Amino acid sequence: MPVSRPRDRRAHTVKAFASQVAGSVSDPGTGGAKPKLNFLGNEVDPFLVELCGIIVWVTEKEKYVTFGVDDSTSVAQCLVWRPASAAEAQVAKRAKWSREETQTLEEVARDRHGRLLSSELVLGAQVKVRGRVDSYLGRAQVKVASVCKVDDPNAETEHRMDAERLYRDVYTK
Amino acid sequence: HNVFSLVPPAPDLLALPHPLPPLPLCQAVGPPPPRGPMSIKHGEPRSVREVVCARSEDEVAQVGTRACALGDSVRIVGRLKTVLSVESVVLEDEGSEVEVDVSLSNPCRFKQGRQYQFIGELEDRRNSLGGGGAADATPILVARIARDVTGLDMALYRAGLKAQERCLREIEERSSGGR
Repeated sequence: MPVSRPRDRRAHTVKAFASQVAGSVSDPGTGGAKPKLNFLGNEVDPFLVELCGIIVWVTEKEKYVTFGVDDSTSVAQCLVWRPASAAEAQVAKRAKWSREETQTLEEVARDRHGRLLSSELVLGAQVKVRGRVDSYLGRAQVKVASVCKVDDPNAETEHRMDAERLYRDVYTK
Repeated sequence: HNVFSLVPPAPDLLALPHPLPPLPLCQAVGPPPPRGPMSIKHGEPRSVREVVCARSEDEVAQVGTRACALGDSVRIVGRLKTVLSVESVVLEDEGSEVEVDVSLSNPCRFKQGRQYQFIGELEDRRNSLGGGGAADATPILVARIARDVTGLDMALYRAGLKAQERCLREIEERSSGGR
């Protein structure tokens, strides 16, 4: 089964169910040690996953937005960071951007995040989420790389059939 | 010289009232309970017929694991038969009907004849579909999520759920067999 390793730029995104994500933190860890992740019985590094489900809760905080995706197996907690100031992120300094370019980048990021919150991250929306599964405070959490709303009601069914086929023919070979 | 006598006491701290009672001694407790949204359960997919036949926990054990108990979080799909009021609709599927309380769900336009999916909890209420006696009380789904799924292929949907169930069962057997 393909396992994402550190600096493995060829790691691909596995299609999974929310219960696999929620159950991937098998060993909570002791003494402040970071919990280990488990996927299909293998100990893995934080791995890329794709989920498809319905948003059942959304919580907005100052620096991030968390939401829960229910795909009828479990509710997976997902996290989207709010766009930080590009100047604070030192990106502009490293790339030696001008002040106008930095401001434009910040405006684009804020505008995109605003549209994401108003149109995609709404209760009852069916979404496809891609991100990296990691653990936080003993729970599995998906740090979202991309989320998009899917209007086709058969998208969940398609994801279920694909995940089952991939598990049978690819992930366990 | 007593060094400590040179240090005046902090009069502001002494004068401050203590609005809060003294804190109790810390006791060893387990991990904090799940907060708010993280305790929301996922909706188990069920048919309208299985929901309508929801019984008490004792009877669920006799009927089988597919039956629903009151308080369960379920997800159902069906065609909207009637809009009883702003807060209540009737869903039908395969000859069975169930009343759904949509007063707490996300805003959704309900139109007769379209397919909808609801995620919510089963409650025991006297419903509006008829019957007057205590024995006629049937479960009502108190929906927290409502979604228009007109165009959903029901046969493929059920096949997808079976494939998912099969896959998760194999994963569970594999992980328990490997221990």
